[in-house]
Amino acid sequence: MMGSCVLYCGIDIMTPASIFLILLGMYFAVGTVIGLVFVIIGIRKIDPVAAGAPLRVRFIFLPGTISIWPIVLYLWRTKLKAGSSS
Amino acid sequence: MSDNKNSAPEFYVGYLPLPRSHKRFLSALVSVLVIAMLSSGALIAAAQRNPGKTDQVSTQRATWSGTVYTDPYPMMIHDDGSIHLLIGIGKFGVKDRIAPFNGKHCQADGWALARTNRSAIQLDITPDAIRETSGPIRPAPTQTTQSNEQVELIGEIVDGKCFLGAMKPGDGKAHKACATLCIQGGLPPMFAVSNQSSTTQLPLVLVNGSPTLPQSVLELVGEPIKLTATRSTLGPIEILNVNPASIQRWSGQNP
Amino acid sequence: MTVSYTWVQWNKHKKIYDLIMLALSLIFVATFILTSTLVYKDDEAISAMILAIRAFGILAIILLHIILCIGPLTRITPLMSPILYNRRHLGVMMFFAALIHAGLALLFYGAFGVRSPFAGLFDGYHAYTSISGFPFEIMGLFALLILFVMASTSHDFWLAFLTPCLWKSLHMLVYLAYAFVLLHVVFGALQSERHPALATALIAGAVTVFALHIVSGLKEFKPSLQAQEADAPWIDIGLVNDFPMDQGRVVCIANQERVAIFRHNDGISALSNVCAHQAGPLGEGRIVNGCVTCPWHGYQYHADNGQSPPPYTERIPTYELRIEGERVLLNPQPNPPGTPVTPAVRSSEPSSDEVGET
Repeated sequence: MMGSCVLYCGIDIMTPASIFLILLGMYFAVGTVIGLVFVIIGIRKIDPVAAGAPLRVRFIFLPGTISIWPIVLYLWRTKLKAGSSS
Repeated sequence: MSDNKNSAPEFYVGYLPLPRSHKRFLSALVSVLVIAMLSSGALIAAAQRNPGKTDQVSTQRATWSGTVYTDPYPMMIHDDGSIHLLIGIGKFGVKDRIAPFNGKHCQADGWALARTNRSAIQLDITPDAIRETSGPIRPAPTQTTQSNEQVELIGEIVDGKCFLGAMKPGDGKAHKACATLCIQGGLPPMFAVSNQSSTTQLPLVLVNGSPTLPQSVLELVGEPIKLTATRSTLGPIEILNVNPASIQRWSGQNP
Repeated sequence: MTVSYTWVQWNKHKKIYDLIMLALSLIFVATFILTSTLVYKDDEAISAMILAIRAFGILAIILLHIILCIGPLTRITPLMSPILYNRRHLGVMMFFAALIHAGLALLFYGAFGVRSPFAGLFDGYHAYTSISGFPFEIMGLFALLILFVMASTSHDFWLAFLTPCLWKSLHMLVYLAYAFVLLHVVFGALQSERHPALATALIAGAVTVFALHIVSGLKEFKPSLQAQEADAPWIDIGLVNDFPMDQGRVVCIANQERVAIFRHNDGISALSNVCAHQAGPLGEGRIVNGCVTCPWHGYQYHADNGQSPPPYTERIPTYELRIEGERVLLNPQPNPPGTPVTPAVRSSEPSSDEVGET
């Protein structure tokens, strides 16, 4: 899915559907970058149970981060703030 | 478990042994689901529409010889006067590929596809799949119009590869995107006529004298439509010269 | 929330569940393909790839219907609880069936052309204003994206990270996905597959899902209780003997979260009805091994403090109860999650001022 932006060669008509597909590809691309940072580093600081899990287990959280990364970013920040203030 | 377990129904907890009442219920439920899966699989399969008869021999690679022409559709005229359309691999036509051989006697390697009175050779992808050979040159067929009478037809524009058997079914809504891509890629457009009374069968389509469909017509590929056209022939091949302004979506019953 | 995470949190029941569901799926796919090749053969044979696209698409729809019926059926009969127990795995399986359907369709119908497969399939010449030209593929893509969000966030980590409330809201999107699936089929396959059995099956499926939700909703409906002025804020929730030993009862309070009441040993305790795991209805649970046990996934809490037994760390709100005579009175103001509350017990001699005759 994330490759749709790259695969999307040969655009000959710029329709709402093609714009949607390009945006979707970008969304998944950004999600993949954020997801990698989240599961490798970020998750350890906000979830003590996940912190104890080996990296290969944490990678199962990657697709979820890719799909809802704006929510992840928001909660990540909130939980970090809550963690530092307590 | 509960103190008054005799009066209350048994309680299921995922990590504890399955209570007896649940076991009985689940055995019955799984049996029902097995029957449901078997019967729905069979019934839905039987309810599919017939994709139509094609003489698909695509597993057998063969060699044909005849005179090659690029217009109006890429084709090969055999020594007996029969005509095969020439089509490419994937969703591509072969007009550019056979251009150097236009009007020459050639051999072609590939796979045959056929439906009703229409047939095509899908050229192999190897560079020498089409090559010039010595042999009698057949003249280019001329398009002859018997009358200028306009016929009204109902049916669907399909591409001259999938509908001949490359995909079965090679028509209908699910195939619309594919047929559009095929025709954009240079495969010859055809009209799958659904008027029961019509004597016209699977004619090739020309719009304004060209097999390249304008966008207004391309939008309606793969959908039920009604159109008016004049009929002509190109050797044994029927051709519809479609008036693009006459095309409209058709939602009624087939006559 | 949980003690540790693994790739897939399998136990014996879940493994059997998954194997049965996988076997049922394979039975459907095999029957469909086999029957198709028997009905249409030789020069009328349907392409193998198209059979695969159809088989997995229909399988995903069947699984989606099963998934949507599990919830209401469990409300109608607790015998369905084992099917509810592992519904998430079924959801992930359904997503993969839909993904195979979409992947094959993208490859077969969209690839090997002058445009990219995505452009070819989703960005053809469509007409949103016509039935025959309506772009059904994009409806399928919307449904698949929602199913992806749900399948990818089905791990328990996401429940803990998103909080059960947000997680549940996210997973309610399944109804939106179902709507997109219906549009995908009605404007897609049913436009050319005109056998009446197919449209009938789709309508019957939708009616079943709808009817089961209505029936279970009616069954679950309970009148809300309100405090009598004289007793405020205490609410009379019934007689001591209305509460069976070691079984839960759900009490609805006007404008508030439902409360689960448990009678265990000599005392009665009140907890939030909402399980901290997946918001399951605790009041429909039981006391198992001395703990309140959720009917959905077996999460447990001590009745007298709303805390999960160690090493688990879940906590839910508790409520104050008192017994006057035979009447049980509830303070609808919840305590913070995990607050210990002494279970209410009958006073040795019934009090003379009976309250809350309603």
